[in-house]
Amino acid sequence: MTESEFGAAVTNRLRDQYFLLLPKIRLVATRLDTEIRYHIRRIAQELDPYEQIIVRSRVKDCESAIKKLRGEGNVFTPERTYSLTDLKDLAGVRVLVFPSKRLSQIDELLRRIEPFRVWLADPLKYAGKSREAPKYSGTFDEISSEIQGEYQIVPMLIGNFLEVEHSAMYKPVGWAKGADRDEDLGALRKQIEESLMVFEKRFEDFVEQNRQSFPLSQ
Amino acid sequence: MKKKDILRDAHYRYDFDRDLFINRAVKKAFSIEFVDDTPEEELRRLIREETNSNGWRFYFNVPPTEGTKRELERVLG
Repeated sequence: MTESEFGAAVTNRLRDQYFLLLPKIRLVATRLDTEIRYHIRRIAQELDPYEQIIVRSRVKDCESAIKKLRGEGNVFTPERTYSLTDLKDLAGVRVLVFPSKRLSQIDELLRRIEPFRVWLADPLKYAGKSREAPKYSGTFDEISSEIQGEYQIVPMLIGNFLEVEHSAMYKPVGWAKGADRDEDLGALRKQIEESLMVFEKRFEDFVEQNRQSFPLSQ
Repeated sequence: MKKKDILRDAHYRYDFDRDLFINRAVKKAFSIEFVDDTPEEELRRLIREETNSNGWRFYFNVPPTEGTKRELERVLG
């Protein structure tokens, strides 16, 4: 078998594995979504009118999962074994928070709860890797000890920008292919993310100034 | 100067299927991850670096296995 035949065989085997795992991946996504919504419900109930928390879940699609397993050069090699269970984000939940002062509150709360307390931390980097948001991965062993889920808690302005940017830049088709590697777009992305954070900080300062100046007006 | 301009000036083209900058004349290939993580001056030095012209030289963050090299050499020609 040539290497390219081997690559095609691995791809086919991983597609089979994906559809075997899919029912449990969906269960993990639902469980993760439900656990997080349940545990943050009190914070969600006490939000000020200008504050927002949104919880979104997703199942990683088959081709993205397979692509992620390929190494540099996009090659499957016979010297390695490949399994979708190596991926940390087959099921994922993103908690979007505005303003981000609630972010650490939610993070600390979820970290005290089983099974999240033993999930592995791997912070999400943004704004040119100069800032980090909490991100964790692990399993619900009663569903599967192999299928890993991931949750991240992200400033809402950044998270919404990333959703549009990610689907356009990282899952591109046609002439958009390679956009994620463009240095001009990368520099603009960093500027945008930094500007969003400056906007959010200014908004938080404005609210805090008003709170101190007019403590009884709300 | 941007790294992609440095590579373009050295007659490298981007292979979208493999995410590699390749130059068939000198048989060198830089992975996009390697380019991202390598300072400009080091990149220039590696572009100038003399290599054995019999086989391809792959500049990867994680050295490619023999199987990966064989497959890439086959598709790159």
